Amino acid sequence: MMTRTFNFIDFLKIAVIEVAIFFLIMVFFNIESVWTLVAGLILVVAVVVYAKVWKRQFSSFGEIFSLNKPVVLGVLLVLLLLYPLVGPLMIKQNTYWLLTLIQTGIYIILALGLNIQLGSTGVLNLAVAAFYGIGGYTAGLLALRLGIPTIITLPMGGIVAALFGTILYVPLYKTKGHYMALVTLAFGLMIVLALDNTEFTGGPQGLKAIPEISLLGYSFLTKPGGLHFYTNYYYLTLFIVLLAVIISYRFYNSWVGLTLATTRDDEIAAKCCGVNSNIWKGISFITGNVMIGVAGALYAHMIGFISPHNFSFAESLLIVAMVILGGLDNILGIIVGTVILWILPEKMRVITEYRIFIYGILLLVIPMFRPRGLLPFKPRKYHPSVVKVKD
Amino acid sequence: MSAAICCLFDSCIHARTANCGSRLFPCLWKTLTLRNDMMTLHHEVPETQNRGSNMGTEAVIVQIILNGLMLGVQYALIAVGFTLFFGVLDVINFSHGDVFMLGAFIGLILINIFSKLGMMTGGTSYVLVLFLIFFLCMLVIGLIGIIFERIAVKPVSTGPPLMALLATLGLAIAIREAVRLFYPLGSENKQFPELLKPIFAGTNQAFEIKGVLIRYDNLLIFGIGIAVIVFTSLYINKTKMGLGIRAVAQDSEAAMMMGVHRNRVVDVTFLIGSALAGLTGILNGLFYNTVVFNMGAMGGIIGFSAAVIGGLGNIYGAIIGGFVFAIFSSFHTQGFRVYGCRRLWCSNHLSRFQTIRPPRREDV
Repeated sequence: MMTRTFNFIDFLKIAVIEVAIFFLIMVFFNIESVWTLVAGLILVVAVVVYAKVWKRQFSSFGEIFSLNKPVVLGVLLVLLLLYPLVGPLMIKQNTYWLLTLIQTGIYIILALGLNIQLGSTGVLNLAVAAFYGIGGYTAGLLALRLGIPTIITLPMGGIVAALFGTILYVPLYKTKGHYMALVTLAFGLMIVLALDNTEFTGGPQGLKAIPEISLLGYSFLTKPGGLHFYTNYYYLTLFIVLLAVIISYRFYNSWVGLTLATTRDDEIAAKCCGVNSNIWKGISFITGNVMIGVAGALYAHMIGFISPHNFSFAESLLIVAMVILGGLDNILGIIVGTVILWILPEKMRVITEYRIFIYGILLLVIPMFRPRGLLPFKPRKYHPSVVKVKD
Repeated sequence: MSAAICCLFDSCIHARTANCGSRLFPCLWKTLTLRNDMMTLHHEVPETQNRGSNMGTEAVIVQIILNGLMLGVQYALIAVGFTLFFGVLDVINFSHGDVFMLGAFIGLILINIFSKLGMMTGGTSYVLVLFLIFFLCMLVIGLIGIIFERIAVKPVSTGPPLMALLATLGLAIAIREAVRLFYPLGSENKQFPELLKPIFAGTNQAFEIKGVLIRYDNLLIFGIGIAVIVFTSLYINKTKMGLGIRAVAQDSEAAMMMGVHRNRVVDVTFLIGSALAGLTGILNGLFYNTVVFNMGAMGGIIGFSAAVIGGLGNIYGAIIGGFVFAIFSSFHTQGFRVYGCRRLWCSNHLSRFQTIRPPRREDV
């Protein structure tokens, strides 16, 4: 191991590269013609292939990045914080992309929540959208009908989703594997149809005019310094995403994550070692649902309108696809997968009709080249002397 | 397992009837059995269903079971495909529902070609042409199934098993959208010609036993489905290749040691499974007289659920699962018709099912 001393040159290199990528992404947001987009995507793929084939020239950069993780993350965070200020100057359809980024953030929370269930523990939850909806409806109903302040409704969304998760876990823990997936699938369909047919929740028309978030008297509809009011939501989403990422990393790196992994990899062996797999599966299921529910509450407050159609089975499949595509149990991979699966289709709106078709083709083609996910799961390293573990 | 079934049946009930309140308070809904004007909103209720109020209870129940059986044979055919793929390759093939949809559309194309050639004009050769269409559709879909296996399942076999789920999901989206975009006017409901009616041209298309109305063409659909199921199970149980399929399903490595050509077994499995789905597509089109590009989504969910209820990897389980599922859902749907709760049905119908499924498909 090299000693970790702060090196200004390294810092400069990292900052320049990250800022360059940041501006490239903004240019990417601005592209409007189809052929420029295709050319740009081909360029990106070419760079990735180049980096894979001629590893040596890139390895020095890789080393800098892997050795100075705090610096990398710090610069990234600063750039993310600066984005709403730089955006209006750089991007033509700034509001739209701000909203897209917020939605990406919400999907990252959802995908990380699902990752605790599916990636860490192997509980295939096909009712993600249902829990997402439960969170959203809880927040919406509490705020609309009872006028409860949003600082309470946001966590309440998560708590109620967890309660429903606990109820669902009672039949769930008796099942295994695909039967588990089936129970959650049925639950998802049930919730959507129940929401659709209850007068209390507004039926198929959903909840309208859900009040905006206001924290400590600061309404999120005010425009901070002439910027769009989505900026408020951007920072809140960023904060919750960071929270979710930190929770996920703490989960992953602790003995809890290890316990969950043993349950996933070999349940019988885990039981032999004294792991109560039912309890741990339940804990991971419910923890995941808390995150999913909070994301739902955030969505409901931000958009102000939710209906059962927002939480259909297709939505669940999209989130499952994000987790699997990014790489099961790899938090960075899941973030990358979510960004790709949410931003790319938004960008593909320029090809109008063929958008979903190309999207399906992409979902088909990416696994062909990366059959283990974009960034596959790596075995945990508990000791510096364990350099390489073959899996 | 029982929990799974309970939950699933619940969802099935809701999916078919789209009303929770009616299930929770049946008496309340019974008092609401006004044959009000809303009924007319409901487009052309088929003959068999309109007779509901005049029929005896036993006849109604028999009718419901028969309708369930007609549907069940289709669900069972889809579920057999799911269960075969799962048994042999341990993958959940999410694109199977859309292969089923593709079958209906390829059947439509074949019918158009044959009628352009002037071969659909009736007479004794008509039945032969019909068989040819069925056979060609199964063959084409079977070959397409093999191609799909090569592009969506085989490349990801080195990854985690869930990766195949993702790839087949992408494939399903691609198929659905391809049909919508590249089939002429693909996003509309397509009229499926009533091919079976000319066979019974001399009769009055249906017969009645003690108030139970049975249409000949539905009976034929049922017969074809049962025949194919029997043929498939014979193939898997009696032939050498069937033995190979069962061996690979049981233990793939041990089977390869015994000299089973695994890749060929996988190909044959996909050929059979996809061909069954293709045939189901045609049968479904004949049954409802409508096909639409997104009918595969619901077909896939139902097929998967039926296969899981029966026990993934077990063919008989899938068949029974399909029938149980269909009869149950048929009971519930028809139950509403008997009690005259059409108003609810109407509102749900107008609000929601039009987006999920085309209207006529609900009139089972």
